[in-house]
Amino acid sequence: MIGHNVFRIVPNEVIILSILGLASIWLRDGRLSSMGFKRPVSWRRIFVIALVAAGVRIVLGQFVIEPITGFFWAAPKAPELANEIAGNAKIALFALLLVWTFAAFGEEIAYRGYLLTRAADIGKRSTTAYWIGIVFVSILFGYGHYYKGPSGIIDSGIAGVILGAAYMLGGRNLWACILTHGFIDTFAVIDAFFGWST
Amino acid sequence: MALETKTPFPSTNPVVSRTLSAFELLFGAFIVIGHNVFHIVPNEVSAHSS
Repeated sequence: MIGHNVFRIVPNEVIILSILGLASIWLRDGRLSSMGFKRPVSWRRIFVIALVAAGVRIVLGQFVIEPITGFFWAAPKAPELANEIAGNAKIALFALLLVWTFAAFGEEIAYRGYLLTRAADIGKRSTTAYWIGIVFVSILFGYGHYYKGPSGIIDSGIAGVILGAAYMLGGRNLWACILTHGFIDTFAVIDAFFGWST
Repeated sequence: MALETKTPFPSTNPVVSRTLSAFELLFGAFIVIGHNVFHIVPNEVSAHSS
């Protein structure tokens, strides 16, 4: 509550969806591996997929999406905490803690783990059903970042597609998108700490 | 490349299972849009104070 209302940093619907999702998958599927929470055959492959996906997302966002959306709307609004990270190691470490818990784990369990699995259920979990689901869930993921404004919604929506692609390339493995999300946001925290981007 | 890609289907009754999944997906969409766009999903449970 304090995190959400005072610091405006905890994405509250993520907690609700994560709990709902874990409960639903556990009750209906019997095991969390259905949402992709399973040990990968190759951790190295998952790491490589995550690093490449994170790189693609960062480069695409910086050099393609932001310049294009910048023609029409203001730049995406950063979370309020981001403005306090610059040069402040304590806040930066706190941001990293949030990034790897609420963002990487929370959002991935909620969006890719839960909602994508349920979207794919509708199409009998075929590969096509997963990809259609990725598009739908990515639109939701974009609106989940509504506070960032129109360009931020589009930017986050495309990030959702990349995270979904990492999930699929990893063999429908949630660790692939959890690590991708963590790497992306860790870069964002480092960026904010050193003030690389304006 | 030999990753596990098989995922179990959740119910012996596919129609019921798929309908329930569709309902869950729509409910999830309602939570996301309701909270972030329309602010109709409450942030948290809070006690009323006078």
